[in-house]
Amino acid sequence: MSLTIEDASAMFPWNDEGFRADPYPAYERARAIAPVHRTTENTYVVLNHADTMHNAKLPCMRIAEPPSFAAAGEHPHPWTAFDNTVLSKDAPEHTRMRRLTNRWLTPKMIGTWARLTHDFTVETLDKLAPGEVVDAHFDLGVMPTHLTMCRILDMPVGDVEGMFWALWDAMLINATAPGEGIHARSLAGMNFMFAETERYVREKQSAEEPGNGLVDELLAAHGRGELTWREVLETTVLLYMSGGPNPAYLIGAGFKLFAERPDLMAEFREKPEIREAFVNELARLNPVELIITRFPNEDIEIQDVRIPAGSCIKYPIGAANRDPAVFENPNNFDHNRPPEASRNLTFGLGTHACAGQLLARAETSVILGLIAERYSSVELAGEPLEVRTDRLVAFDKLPVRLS
Amino acid sequence: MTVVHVLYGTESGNAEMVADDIVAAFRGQGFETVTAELTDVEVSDLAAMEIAVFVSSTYGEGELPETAAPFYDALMAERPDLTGVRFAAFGLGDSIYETFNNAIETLRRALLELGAEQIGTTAKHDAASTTPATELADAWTRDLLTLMPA
Ligand SMILES: Cc1cc2nc3c(=O)[nH]c(=O)nc-3n(C[C@H](O)[C@H](O)[C@H](O)COP(=O)(O)O)c2cc1C
Repeated sequence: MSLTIEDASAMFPWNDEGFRADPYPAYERARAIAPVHRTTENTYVVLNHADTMHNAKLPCMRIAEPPSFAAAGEHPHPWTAFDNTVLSKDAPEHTRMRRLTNRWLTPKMIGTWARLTHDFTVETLDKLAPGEVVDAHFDLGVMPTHLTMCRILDMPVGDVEGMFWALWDAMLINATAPGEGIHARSLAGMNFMFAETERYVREKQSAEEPGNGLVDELLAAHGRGELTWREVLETTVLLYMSGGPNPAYLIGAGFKLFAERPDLMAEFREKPEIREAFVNELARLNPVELIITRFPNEDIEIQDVRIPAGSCIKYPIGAANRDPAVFENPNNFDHNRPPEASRNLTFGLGTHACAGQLLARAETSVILGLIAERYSSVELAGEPLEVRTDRLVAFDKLPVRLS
Repeated sequence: MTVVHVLYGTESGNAEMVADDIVAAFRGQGFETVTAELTDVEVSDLAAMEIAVFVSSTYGEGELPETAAPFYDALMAERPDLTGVRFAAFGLGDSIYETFNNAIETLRRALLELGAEQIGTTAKHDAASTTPATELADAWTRDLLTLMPA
């Protein structure tokens, strides 16, 4: 069935509050009509799991935006600040930049880092008075994971809340259709993150003794002329800012689930062997980044739709993650799904898959494990507050009582 | 006791994990195991190894991991006679790449060319599959053990 561009576009009201809060019914309706829709002259939306998993990671799916997509009007685009990182590079430059962090995030190293997360969480929990309300998002999601990242990088803790919201502001520009004033707000957020981070990195650079973190390794490579200053700085900002906010959403979703489903909390406590699958299912239902965008540099065909080179393809993560062709009762939490029906897009896929995903999964498992082991129940102490665009979601507040 | 050298090349630690899994599966089977990253292996030591298990991922565009490349380059430059050396091969890759598991093939071909003899089949883990590398490593090592009585 083929729709006009206008009809197809109307199915994805990217800026609508209702759609943003719950895009799943819209994805379902659109998927029932066709797995691929053309929503503007040169934009396509792919909704099914099989095609997404196959196509989104083909080497021809470039991450770098072709010049034809450069937003008209205000310049520079705030995210050009990350032009020298894995976020904007394709192979072979991408491979070179990716190698900078590989050694720090191996399956073996993750064990060491997750023990730190454990200790930071215990410190916070030990300070809670019985019945005291705690913000599960900030105090138990952002903080322990950010502190862990600070240790990996050997960076100071910094202004965690200020940086969290600066990142949020910076991300706003990535909405499909950002509104008025967003460009300036995004640029301000980006500038704040970079200024704060650069100040700390400069301090490290001029310290008598080098530290022992990933950033010190980047600085040493810079000293040998192997990395430019921008490469050092941009990669540092990227890591420094991703350590807390991203896993925090997954962790927060876990707290919400524990509050709604005490039975699942009990199972998490009693069966450590299910924790990996449990966290994966939590990730499937609660992606943080909501759309993967790629620009094929060759003509390709997906489900008989011919997509010319240079087009923009949107792969909504939530659409693939809840495709009923793969996931039975896709909206239900079920950590017992077989392996072939549990692969999801939450951490991306292929060459550009999240480099920190093992860390985020381990941190989530450790924090939720501690909660399940120390407490018998999680109770929401107020309505959880979320902020959303069509591209991103975060908790603002998630007050809970642990008992 | 026969010494089995488990030699790995890795970018992000998966091959290292597989090397550990292989060593674990060898435990209690009557072998002594030594694990080393290919960065730390001298080509000249290879000829003296009775049994070597090579584990390597593929990276970039079909290349060996960056830290394993010097070993391979030295191997091709020095071309030692490896007659009498027996080896097994375990690769890690992702079938989305046309160069799926190129690196272990590259290593394997070089070793055969220099006179080494392969034991068992070449394992090729696929990151796009749902099988964890650890599981494949376990099963593959168990098969391997049937071919090499202690
Ligand atoms: C940047 C990048 C390039 C890759 N290139 C290839 C490739 O050319 N062929 C292949 O089979 N796998 C490729 N892979 C997949 C890896 O080999 C696979 O993820 C493996 O599990 C990594 O193991 P390691 O952590 O030991 O390096 C690539 C992965 C990345 C991140």
